[in-house]
Amino acid sequence: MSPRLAARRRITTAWPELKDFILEVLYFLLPLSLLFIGLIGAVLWWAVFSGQYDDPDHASRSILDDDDRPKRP
Amino acid sequence: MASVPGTMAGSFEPTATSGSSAKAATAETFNYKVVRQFAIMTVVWGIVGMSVGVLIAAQMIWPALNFDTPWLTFGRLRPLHTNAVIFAFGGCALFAASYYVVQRTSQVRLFSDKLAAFTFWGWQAVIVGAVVTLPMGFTSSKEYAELEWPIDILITLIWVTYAIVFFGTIIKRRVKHIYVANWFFGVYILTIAILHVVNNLELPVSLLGWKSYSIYAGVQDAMTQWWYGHNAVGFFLTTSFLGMMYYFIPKQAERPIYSYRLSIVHFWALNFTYMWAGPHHLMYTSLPDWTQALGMVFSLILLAPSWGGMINGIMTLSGAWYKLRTDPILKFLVVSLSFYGMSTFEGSMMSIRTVNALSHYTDWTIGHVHSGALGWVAMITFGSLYYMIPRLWGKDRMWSMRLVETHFWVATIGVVLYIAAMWIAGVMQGLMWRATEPDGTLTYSFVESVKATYPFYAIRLLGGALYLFGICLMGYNVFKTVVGAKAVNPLVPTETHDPIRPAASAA
Repeated sequence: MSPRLAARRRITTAWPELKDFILEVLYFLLPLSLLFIGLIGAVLWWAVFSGQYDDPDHASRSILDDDDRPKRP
Repeated sequence: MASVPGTMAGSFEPTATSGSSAKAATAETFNYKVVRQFAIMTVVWGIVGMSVGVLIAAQMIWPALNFDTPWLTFGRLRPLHTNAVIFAFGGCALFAASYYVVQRTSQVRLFSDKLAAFTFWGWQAVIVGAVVTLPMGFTSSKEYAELEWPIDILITLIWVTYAIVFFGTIIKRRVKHIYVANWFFGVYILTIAILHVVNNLELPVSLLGWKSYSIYAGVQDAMTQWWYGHNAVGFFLTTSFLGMMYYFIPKQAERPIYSYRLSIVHFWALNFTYMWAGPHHLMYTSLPDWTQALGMVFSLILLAPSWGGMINGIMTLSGAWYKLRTDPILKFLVVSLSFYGMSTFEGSMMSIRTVNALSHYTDWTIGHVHSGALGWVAMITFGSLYYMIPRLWGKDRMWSMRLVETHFWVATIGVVLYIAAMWIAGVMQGLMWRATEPDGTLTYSFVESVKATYPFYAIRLLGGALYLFGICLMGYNVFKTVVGAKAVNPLVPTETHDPIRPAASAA
């Protein structure tokens, strides 16, 4: 038996066990998405209470204060 | 505000008084080198990726153009085209723009030059790997994730490095506020890392071979794939390019964004809704009904933040509309937003189950994708590059602004021809496939719908060729701008608004 075929057979025979914990991928994806949203919520919390959004008018003008045109010597 | 500079001045004193040694150190400059490298490769890969696209569009009319050569067949070149335009052209553009924007808005040099250089050379290695393996037929068969496992591992390494460079720069920023564009770039980097890793979990057949199998099976595999696929569109091709939009439109228009508050709402609303829209790619499949309905509802909700962002960008020009008459860079940026608005509206509509019944599997989908890719992603990239490239080489403007103007018109006409042809072709195919005779038999055979599509394939080819011609004009213009010009790495300004720490060599 070629090593390639043997490897393929190993995967095939291992499949039922693998299936046990991966089968319902939604049970995996949904908690993952919820966790992700939890993290997003935590970052939002930080942004609001650390003062990131205290002065949006100044924030919007800030990039225009930065002169990125090439300097002429 | 007043109390902050006072406390800051105290904490800065050691730097100021330790004096001579700090002054002797060379002043901090921006790392424009990696931005230049990525900017040039964006144009190069754009030309390559779009050329492959034009070739396979021609193959739809003249199948003989595969020259009976396996690696020139449609099935192998199509993933090469999508990977080249999304990850090579789009990816390089995003690296360039995010590295430029994060440095300018944080008023600090990139976190690490070596790691940034690794992201450049590593990313080019990934692209070369794709150019070699995809035509050879190595594919995981997952759309937009075709690359096999060794390349997937390399991508993961590069992406983690990218995150370190980007967030490291944010952490060492010298201004208190993190500008909204950086939020968009940040969420794109984080999300793509998770999407890429989860969707590409696969078992190699052997450690010396390219072949691997996905660890998911059946409809679970399909769901994971389209959770990835749609969020790749959402975060690789949308939020990231919105980061470009929120920086380059205000800079080019020399006006602040229309509503900064709206940009914050836009950002958070987009993040909360995008994740759930994937199932709309699997309407009328064995995916559970409730999951399909969930995907459809979230796709419809997504229209609100999408249009909020579009309106925010376009209204930035209110009071300065006259600039659109004379400034081709602004034309690129604003027209890209119009296409963004069109394609997000179209996408939400296509996710409605009954509309999807007509549109799915037809060329309408191809038209929708290109309305987003050519109209939105590539146009905003062109505008941003025309803004950045002169600055990266110490020039006031591109070599020829008339050529930029020509590029704009050629590209716009190209997109419109392309998407109009695909809309008509798609609706026609959908109607022909579902048409039945009174006795229940199909009115048309499949091949009749193919035959009826030929004229539209020809118009699509013309539109695509025009678009390719446009980016070639850009390539020439960039070459004339850059050749012989001195690469500049400007000093990080020592005086800055809203400071939290001084420049590395504050005098």
